Amino acid sequence: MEKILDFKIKGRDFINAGESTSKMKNYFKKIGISSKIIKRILVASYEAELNVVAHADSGVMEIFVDEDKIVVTVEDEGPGIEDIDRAMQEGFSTASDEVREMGFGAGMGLPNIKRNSDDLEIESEVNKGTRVKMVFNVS
Amino acid sequence: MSEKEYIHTVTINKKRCIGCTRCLRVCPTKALRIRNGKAIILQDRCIDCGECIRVCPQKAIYSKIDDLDIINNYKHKLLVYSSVLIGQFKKYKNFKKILNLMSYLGFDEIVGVDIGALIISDVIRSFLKHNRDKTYITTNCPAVVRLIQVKYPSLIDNMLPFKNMMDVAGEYLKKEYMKKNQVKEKNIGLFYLSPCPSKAQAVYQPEGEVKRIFDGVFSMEEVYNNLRYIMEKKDIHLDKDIELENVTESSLKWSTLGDVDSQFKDFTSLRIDGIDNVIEFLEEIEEGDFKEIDLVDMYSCQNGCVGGVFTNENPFVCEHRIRHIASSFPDSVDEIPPICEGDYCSLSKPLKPRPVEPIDKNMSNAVKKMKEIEEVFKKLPKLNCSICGSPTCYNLAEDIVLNEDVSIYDCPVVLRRNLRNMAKDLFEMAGRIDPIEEKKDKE
Ligand SMILES: Nc1ncnc2c1ncn2[C@@H]1O[C@H](COP(=O)(O)OP(=O)(O)OP(=O)(O)O)[C@@H](O)[C@H]1O
Ligand code: SF4
Ligand code: SF4
Ligand SMILES: [Mg+2]
Repeated sequence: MEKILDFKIKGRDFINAGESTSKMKNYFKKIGISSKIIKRILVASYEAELNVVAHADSGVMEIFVDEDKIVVTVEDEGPGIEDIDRAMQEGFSTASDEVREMGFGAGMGLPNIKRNSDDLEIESEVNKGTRVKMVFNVS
Repeated sequence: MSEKEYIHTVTINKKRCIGCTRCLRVCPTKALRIRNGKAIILQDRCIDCGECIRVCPQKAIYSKIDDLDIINNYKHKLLVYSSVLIGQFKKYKNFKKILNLMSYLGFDEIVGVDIGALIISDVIRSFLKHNRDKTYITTNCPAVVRLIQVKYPSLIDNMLPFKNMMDVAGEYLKKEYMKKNQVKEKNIGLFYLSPCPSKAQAVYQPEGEVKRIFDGVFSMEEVYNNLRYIMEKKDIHLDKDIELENVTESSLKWSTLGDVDSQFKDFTSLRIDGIDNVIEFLEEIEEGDFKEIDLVDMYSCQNGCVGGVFTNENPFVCEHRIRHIASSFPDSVDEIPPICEGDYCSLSKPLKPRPVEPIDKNMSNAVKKMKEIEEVFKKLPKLNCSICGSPTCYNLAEDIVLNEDVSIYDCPVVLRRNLRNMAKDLFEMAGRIDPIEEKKDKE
């Protein structure tokens, strides 16, 4: 597995979230990944990034190439997820009122990640943090 | 017409080019390089927008175009003119005078592109009524269509599946003429009077079509010059009455200024003009749809087609004249001319992407090369001066890794740094005393 890109993520910083998107997009275009797959990677990664911004304190996103797969990991320091199965359900959200006012908190992020990735692993420890690993087959 | 081969109108005259790099800096797709002292165009990247033509101080970049006299090869000669033409005349602010003047060019029938706008707007309206799932993009500016094919292939499905207004106008004029005069298609020459190299390119190689629609294309510059010449003649009559039944204010304004909202009042529509603005918007749609916008009408040129490379009048002045002329026409017509009889409005085949080749077909090799490019890029000064012949330092890094003829010493800053270090080493080396001499000294 070879790391190709990484980004720092700051909690509460909704404005700069998504800056990674265009850098990732340009990179993927250059190495010849098809636009349909690029779209899926970007959607899933953006949701994972937003979850750090909305629910955690800080984190990093790293992008790897592994033969014919793209692997995106998002790791954060934050409250962690108590019940992952529950968090995966559509509509489940613990987003604060402040976050909801900004138009987030529909509880659709994780289901969206699931739908757009070929493989998803979530590890989390309460009061410590969360690690989301998404795998995308590109060939 | 093979899929791969890309016909271009924008061309460099090597004899005139002095390699000044001016064009490199404005090319929106980074398609230009200076190699061996002369500008070259990377064929798979160029979208024929003509921005480089505008800025070249040597007039070394031009557009391929047909000569007016090719019309004599045809028995029946038909012309579709870009309606931008009506804003080019200081002397005539009257539409009928201009049309009378044009009748001296030798065509049997002439219509403006605005008739295409009138016809296609109705088709697009009924399409949009049933398709509100995404932001649709018009096909009017061929440079935008090709930009999307080359750089934003994921947005191909956002393009309207219809011909642009010039092609619609052409099909309409030909069909009408054949019906009215009972002539065969093979005896007809259909021509376009273009405001820009991009539309000329689209005449030679229409995207989404199986064959050419127009038999030739002329530049507005040249035709304007011809008309100026005719204007000076004594025996011309410009007051003949001409019936203008299919002209509306909104179709005139949409086809010249990109006034799209006047045509699509029940929808949210936007005009985006200027290639940099177009690029910024496409990047944004690519990263997430603007659900509230139904339609974007995009033009590579500032102010839309009035800013075309072949126009001679200032675009703002031209816009003012067109608005003035357009205001004398009704907002709509009672009956829109025969729409899509035999469906001549839809594209004949779906638009296909034409993405620039990835840096390597094998993904892990591509990743390796990307790493190398990053490494080289770190060593470059990031001044983006273009003196090396590549538009930016990053482009040079790419060119060094992907093209064996290009070297890091093409960068004058790196070259000087290296020479300086070498000189330092030389100086130090030269300052050492020869060990043999030393021995002699001691004896
Ligand atoms: N990185 C994280 N740290 C802590 N909790 C998280 C994290 N990611 C998700 N969660 C928890 O899982 C819930 C569901 O996440 P999901 O992304 O599906 O919805 P959401 O973020 O609340 O809303 P939306 O993503 O639709 O804006 C969150 O409300 C939160 O409780
Ligand atoms: S602008 Fe480009 S084409 Fe014109 S002289 Fe300079 S380098 Fe040559
Ligand atoms: S026509 Fe446009 S895309 Fe082609 S080389 Fe010139 S500036 Fe670049
Ligand atoms: Mg979320």
